[in-house]
Amino acid sequence: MAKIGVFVCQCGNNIARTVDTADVAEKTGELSGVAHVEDYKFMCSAPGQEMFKKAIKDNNLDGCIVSACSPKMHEATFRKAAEDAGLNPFKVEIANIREQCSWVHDDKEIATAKSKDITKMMVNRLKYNRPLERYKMPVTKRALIIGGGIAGIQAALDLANAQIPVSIVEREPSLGGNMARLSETFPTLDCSQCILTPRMVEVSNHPLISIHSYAELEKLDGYIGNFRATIRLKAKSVIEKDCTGCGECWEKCPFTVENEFDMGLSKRSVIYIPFPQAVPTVPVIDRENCPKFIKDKCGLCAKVCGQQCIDFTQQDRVIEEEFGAVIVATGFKLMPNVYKEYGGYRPPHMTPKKLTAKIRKTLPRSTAGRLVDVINGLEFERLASASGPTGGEIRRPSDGKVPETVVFIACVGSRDCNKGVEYCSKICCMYTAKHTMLYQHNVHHGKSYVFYMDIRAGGKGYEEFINRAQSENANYVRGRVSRLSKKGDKILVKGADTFTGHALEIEADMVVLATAMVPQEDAMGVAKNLGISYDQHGFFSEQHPKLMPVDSSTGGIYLAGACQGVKDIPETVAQASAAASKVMQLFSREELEREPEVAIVDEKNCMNCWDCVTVCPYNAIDRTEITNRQGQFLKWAAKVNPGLCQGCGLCNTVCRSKSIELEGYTDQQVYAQITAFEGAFV
Amino acid sequence: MIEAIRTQAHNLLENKEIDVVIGYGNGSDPTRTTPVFIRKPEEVNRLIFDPRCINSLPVYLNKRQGYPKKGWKRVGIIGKGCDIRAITQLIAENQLSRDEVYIFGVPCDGVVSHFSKWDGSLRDDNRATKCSECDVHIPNDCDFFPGERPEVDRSGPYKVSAPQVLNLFNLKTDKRFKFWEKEFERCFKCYACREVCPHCSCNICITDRTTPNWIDQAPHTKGVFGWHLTRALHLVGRCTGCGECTRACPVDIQVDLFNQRMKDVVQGSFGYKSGYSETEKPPLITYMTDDSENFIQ
Repeated sequence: MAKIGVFVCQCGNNIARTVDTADVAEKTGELSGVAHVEDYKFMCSAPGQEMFKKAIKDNNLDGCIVSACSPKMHEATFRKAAEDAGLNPFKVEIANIREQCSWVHDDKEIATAKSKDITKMMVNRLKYNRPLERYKMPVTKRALIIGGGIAGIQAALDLANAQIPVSIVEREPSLGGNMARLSETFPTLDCSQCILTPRMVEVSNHPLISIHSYAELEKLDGYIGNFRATIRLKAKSVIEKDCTGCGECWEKCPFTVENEFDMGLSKRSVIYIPFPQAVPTVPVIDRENCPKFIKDKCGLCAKVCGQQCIDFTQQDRVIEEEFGAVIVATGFKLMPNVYKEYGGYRPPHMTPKKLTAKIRKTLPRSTAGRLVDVINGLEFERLASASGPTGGEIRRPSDGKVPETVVFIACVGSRDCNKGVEYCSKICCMYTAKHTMLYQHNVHHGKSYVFYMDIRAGGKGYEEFINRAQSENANYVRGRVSRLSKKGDKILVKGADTFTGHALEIEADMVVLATAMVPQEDAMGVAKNLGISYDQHGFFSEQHPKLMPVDSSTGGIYLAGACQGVKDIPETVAQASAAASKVMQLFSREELEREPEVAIVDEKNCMNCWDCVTVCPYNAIDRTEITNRQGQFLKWAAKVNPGLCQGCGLCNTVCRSKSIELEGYTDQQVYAQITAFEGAFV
Repeated sequence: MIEAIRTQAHNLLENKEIDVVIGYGNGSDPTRTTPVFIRKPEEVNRLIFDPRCINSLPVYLNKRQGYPKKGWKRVGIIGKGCDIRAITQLIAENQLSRDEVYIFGVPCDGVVSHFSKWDGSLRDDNRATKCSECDVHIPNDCDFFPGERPEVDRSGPYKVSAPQVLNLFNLKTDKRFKFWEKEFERCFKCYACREVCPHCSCNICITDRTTPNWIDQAPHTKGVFGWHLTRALHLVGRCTGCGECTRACPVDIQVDLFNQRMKDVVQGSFGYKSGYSETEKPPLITYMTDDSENFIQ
């Protein structure tokens, strides 16, 4: 006979207002197997927990039900308390009579009856709970960082300074990410590269950090504490260890292509480093555009290289490394193509196929499509940057003239659920204000207009910054722009000033669009590779929006920076440091404890159809040979790796022979719980 | 035709390439045939094939039934096109490996719906319903075929289910429930439908499980509905439509109407036909990222 204790919590008035807790306790006490009941104001308070522990010890209880709030809130609290009192923590269950009962009902009588049912169901379930032990797992104390932008750099430095070896995988030939493109940063107007490049150098000199630049993560296997990463190091065609970064090759290279670091506003050689302060300072050959690879001509770089480190035959190398934790910092990009079809953009994954074809048809007629002088925020950053294509002078792309009138348009694609994305990109108000200042500092007599919807400047020193921009001659116009069209060599901006209620036409020399921040286009692929979840826009989802903002949905994988949601630099750096500290927490122990609520296999009855193997999203189920004591093969059966299993229960649902179950949620428990319900069919 | 198969079976048995041939032989009365297991080369003349050969023999390849027996390395089996579909499905579900079987394919014009309806000729009124929609009169995969095997295009969808399924489906829910309630009144849960099914391969069937007792054992409305609906759902995307469950039913309940309906649903929703590929994964255990519904993302 079970000896179950039931503890009904009043939660102050939260539960007691609509549920007669004393009645629930009394009625539950009459159930078979219930040996002890309590009705208390705050079970989670210190005295409440003491009472809980004392009741377990005094009555020698072998299971406890806490009828209170959601198990998300206090399940861990009471399991810990039970452990302290010498009871297996997995013999404690929560009956949720707050979120699922008292908060959603008004009628006290009905709510009380429902609370009784909920508690009774849990009591019946508890009778079949088995005492479980947590799994212990070893930890590999090395961290992998995906993405070498400011988030990745910050996390790497924090970890390496805590004596944790780190590998950074960066897709581009150099670290730096989007921050390296910026000219100056708000709200202090300090030079972006001047604050970033020392960090990059620190990373490259740190003995505990290894940089895999021009590389991509192909596959991530394993589980928290024990990941195995397969990394593809793309062929740079340059022998890295011999290269001194002297620059002979990229200076002499006679072929040029569009420079993607300058957003296509300048040209770069085919063998290149993205920008002068690149880390590592090792050039790569862009094989798609290099004539040596296309038609076996040229090869000049190999001739001029004093170190003889150009190797045209180099192949991609695939390496495998072990890690204990992963920080994902893949960053963002600006919504593409919005200036071609201003106001008509949808991210590719949101666009129905038919619509795309329609848009494509209308594209050549779209006026903005031919306007070279309509640029986006990052392009303006390059124009304003001292290391950019114009050397820091603001000149328009079409004819190189200094623009006398510039129109800045905020919220392009953002806050527009019809044609763009629903969310606010958050940084645009600030960087547009910064752009007006940079423009004013460059072109003293220039006129700048900002079309905006609202100004969102929540941040330390942000509102002051906006005020400063507005007082420095920038004309802020509240309203939307309806159309951009060509007028001579100027751009006619048609818009509205909603404060005065007048339509507005401005002849601008250049238009800068503050386009929405969106995730990298392959973000979903990365998420699937890593087994983490993402939202409808492609931003990676955090475990809990408030309380676990840097944990991904998968244990041991953490998020940093704009890959998780729109962020400015201070927020990105803060999140990167937070992710690093999470990794340090993880690595501070020699062994990890995993919750035992994982799938278990009834090997005898497993009929090896392997449906569970196919359906498992975490690759946690394998095939194993069952042998007898003499080691002779008997049969095949499924085998669960408890380190990988997340307890999702998909395998349970596909197993026809019911040979796989989830510990803590066994068929017997769930069945007992359901059948205990008064109105149940069975 | 059967002569060629007998000769081939004789040779293979003599050379010990296969251990047994599972085929059809004459039954106890002239209308019936019975499955025979030929282990000696001199016995191959017992093998016959004609429209009376209704039984789906792949049930003898099912591990739950204790087949293939220990020591049998390779089993020869005579397969109509529909039986071979069942074999393919068994292979797809890892219940069998392809090199464990040697398939004698037979061309088949259809079989009678029941032994009792056999009077020497096959007509529309005594042909099994599955045969009218059959696209495997010429088997699609076999190791031996008497004579030249013509290529048949089988890429198209299954034909629509028997008209009875659609008629039933067009009924209002309560009428349909009444229909089944009436049918199931006769069911006394002998589980013949399970025993004859080549795909029921669990060691312990869910209906025999007692911890917890998912399905009531008693043959009352709840127990009978519980069993038949579970059976139908467990065969979604797996049933190859041999119709043996209906034939084996001693009280003539058309239990395969459920399976036929599910077959249409699976094919309509996912474009999947069971029993045509050893490698394609059934739709209920896979997902596609380019699914037209994007909830999966």
